[in-house]
Amino acid sequence: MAWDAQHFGHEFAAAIDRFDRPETQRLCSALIAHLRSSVEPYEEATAKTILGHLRRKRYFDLLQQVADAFLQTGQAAPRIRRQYAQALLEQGGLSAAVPFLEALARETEGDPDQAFENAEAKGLLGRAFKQIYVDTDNAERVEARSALNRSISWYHSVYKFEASKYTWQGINTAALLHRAATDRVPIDGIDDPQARAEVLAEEILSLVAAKWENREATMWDSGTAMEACIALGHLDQAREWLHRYVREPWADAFELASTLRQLEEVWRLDVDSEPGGSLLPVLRAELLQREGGSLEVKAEQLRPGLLADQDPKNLEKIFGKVRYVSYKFMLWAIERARAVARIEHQPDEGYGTGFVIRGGDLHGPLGDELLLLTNSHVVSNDEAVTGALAAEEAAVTFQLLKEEDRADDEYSVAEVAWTSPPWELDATLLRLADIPQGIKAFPVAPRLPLADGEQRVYVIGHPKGGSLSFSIQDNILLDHEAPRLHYRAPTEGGSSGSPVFNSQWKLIGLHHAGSKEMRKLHRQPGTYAANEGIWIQSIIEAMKERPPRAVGL
Amino acid sequence: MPHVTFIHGIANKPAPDVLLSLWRESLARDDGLDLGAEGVTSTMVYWADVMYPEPQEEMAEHESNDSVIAKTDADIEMVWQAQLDGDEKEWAASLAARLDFDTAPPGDDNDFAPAESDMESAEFERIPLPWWLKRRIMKTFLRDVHHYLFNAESSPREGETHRVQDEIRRRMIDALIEGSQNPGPHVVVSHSMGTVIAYDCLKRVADCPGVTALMTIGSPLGLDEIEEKLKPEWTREDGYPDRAAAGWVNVYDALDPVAGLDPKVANDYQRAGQRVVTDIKEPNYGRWRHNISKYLGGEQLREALAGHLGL
Repeated sequence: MAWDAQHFGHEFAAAIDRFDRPETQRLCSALIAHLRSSVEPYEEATAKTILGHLRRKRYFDLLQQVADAFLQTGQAAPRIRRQYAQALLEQGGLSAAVPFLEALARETEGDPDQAFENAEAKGLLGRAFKQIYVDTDNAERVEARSALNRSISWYHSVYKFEASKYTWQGINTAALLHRAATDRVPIDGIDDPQARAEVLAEEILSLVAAKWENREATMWDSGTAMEACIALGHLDQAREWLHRYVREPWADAFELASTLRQLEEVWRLDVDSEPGGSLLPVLRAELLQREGGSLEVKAEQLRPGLLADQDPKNLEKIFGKVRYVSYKFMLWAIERARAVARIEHQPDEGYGTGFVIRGGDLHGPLGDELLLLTNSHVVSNDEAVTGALAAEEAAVTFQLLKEEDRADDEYSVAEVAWTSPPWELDATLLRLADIPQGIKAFPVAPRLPLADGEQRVYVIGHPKGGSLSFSIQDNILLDHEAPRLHYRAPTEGGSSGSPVFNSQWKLIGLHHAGSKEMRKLHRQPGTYAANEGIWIQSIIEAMKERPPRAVGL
Repeated sequence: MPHVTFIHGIANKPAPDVLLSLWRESLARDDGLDLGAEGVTSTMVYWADVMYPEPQEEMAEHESNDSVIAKTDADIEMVWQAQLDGDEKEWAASLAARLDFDTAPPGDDNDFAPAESDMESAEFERIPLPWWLKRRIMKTFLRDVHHYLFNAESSPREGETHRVQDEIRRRMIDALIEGSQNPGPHVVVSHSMGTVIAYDCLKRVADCPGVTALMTIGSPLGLDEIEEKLKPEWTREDGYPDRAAAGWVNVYDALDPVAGLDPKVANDYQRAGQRVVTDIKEPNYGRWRHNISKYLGGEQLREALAGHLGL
């Protein structure tokens, strides 16, 4: 069949827009097959648009595959090459990206038509070496020191070329000089990196302020100005620029995540002191609320920090009313995450997730007793269930409490209070030998959200492998038919036994499975990519028929 | 599953789906009542297209949600009023006089508006709107409410003519039938002119299904001229619509120019001589107090609605 580029473009944009990762993947494979079978290189403008979409949604593996196919089939415009290198960088392929970018920088040097791409390539080189320095996290190593020097040199070369245009590269230079001063890393040709960082920051701030006055400032400029204020210690101004930044409609999950990373990794801000105390929570809260925003955070990052003790009136002043609502939303997320536990077999080897629930919310007679709910394919003493941990093998840890230094590391299971096999409700209610203090159980929603394709649900879990990290995923509820709920995750993965919440952070379900080919509900034909959870009210109904064991029986 | 039937008020509106989203978002904003998340279905009885050729385009700013407040050179068309005769003419003149839009502004300044410091007064004269705007609102209101109550003809588009009341009643009844097929509570949430339509259907249309509760917001139902036209079904002592089985909540802001002349309705819509309607004063903010987005942000309103929906 003939290739219809326009039709492809529409389908592709639609799949990207609804974060339909499997469909996007299918379309990318079709495009790659088309590229290989055609004689002409793909049209440059269209190729750029496709790659731009993939970049914005952070599908870097697909970005790499498609860009690679463009390059292999004769579409090797500098921008395509740069996007390919960025995909490598984002996936940690630093060693491959550096020589590729160096060649691109060399070949575009001095070509007035390629000045922008030349600057971008050098900026990415700055970023690659910055990442090498940050990842090494050891300023004593000669490789790390060299990487920091090279990063500063690449960023600065771009900024010097045209300061008013490349303020973003300028602010990176300042940030890294500040870091060099803190880490006591000597920088070639600069005696006092801290003083130089402040001079640069002043210069950049006035450039951006002038742009702002002329209404020429972009989203990145606001982010840049915020960093300049951090460098200069101007907290109030930094907050003001952050508010301008997050107000931008174009500041999507990708932009916010990269700014967050910059503040945490390069500036090493934390929530327990200023300026991190008031900047990071705003950024995280905004990131969580962006459509498709999936936040993967370490337990120590998921703390409200010094703002938690503040009077709400002060907080409203700091945030402004609208941002304060986002912040409260994040506080709820944190409170819910505190009740989420990792179920381990061996120490530090996650097996599944579970969460604390008030017994009486599931079954009245259990009253205020706190129990742990998980999947029966994670923990079960039913002999018919294979592959699950036996209750006595399971160790339960609460990562947030662990970070707060308030709990023993591991909690053991006293008994299985109730279970339903994986082929029914896939749920096990565990009574722990002891339960940490200070955990609030979730409110349970009596009804499900509408299945109108617009409702968002949130899943908190421990992604596979990440021992101390939480993933808070924003999903669209696709459909439900008791006892099942289907929702689409923006990213792959998820954890068995995680709680599923509605947009008001009330518990609606127990996550148990995900598949690229999930059978649709309501006897509709066909499959789709979806995650599946069990409706909490179905579990409650089942317990009416067959009550859980009360304590001491 | 609980269900809400919304019905909008005077003046042109954006397209039906946009309008419905806006109402739902206004209810949900700032930790509010998120109908979708709570599993509550909702529909909007849309009737702006009976009066206007095409939907309003821009709706970016909530403060200017109503097209009547756009300051344009063209004034509201009032030729229709000159063509009336008899009782109908008298009725329109009487309501026009009460709405007070033909008096000259102080100092002939069309932009004159009372100071914001005077805003908490319940006096209609102190409604804190510039004169030109008050006039536009009142003219739009007079026309829309007249056309509905007198079942006037409207030709919004070429080749399309409606009897305003017949058409809007039909839409309202269809929506109420659809809503009543849900197993859960069913609440009608109406604003401005929509409150007149909702009341008219529940009280005066024989085949109208019952609902759990009626909520009227920024309602002009307290005006004598409107009550007059709701007779004979309406009487002061027995004006309550029994089809709203579990209650009627009336929400007002005393500075709302549409509701403000007589904002409470409990006295005028009694059930067997007893006051049963709950009047809730929900203070809005700013100069424009008839705005549905602000009303839907009110805590008391949200609490009352959640209560009737069983949330």
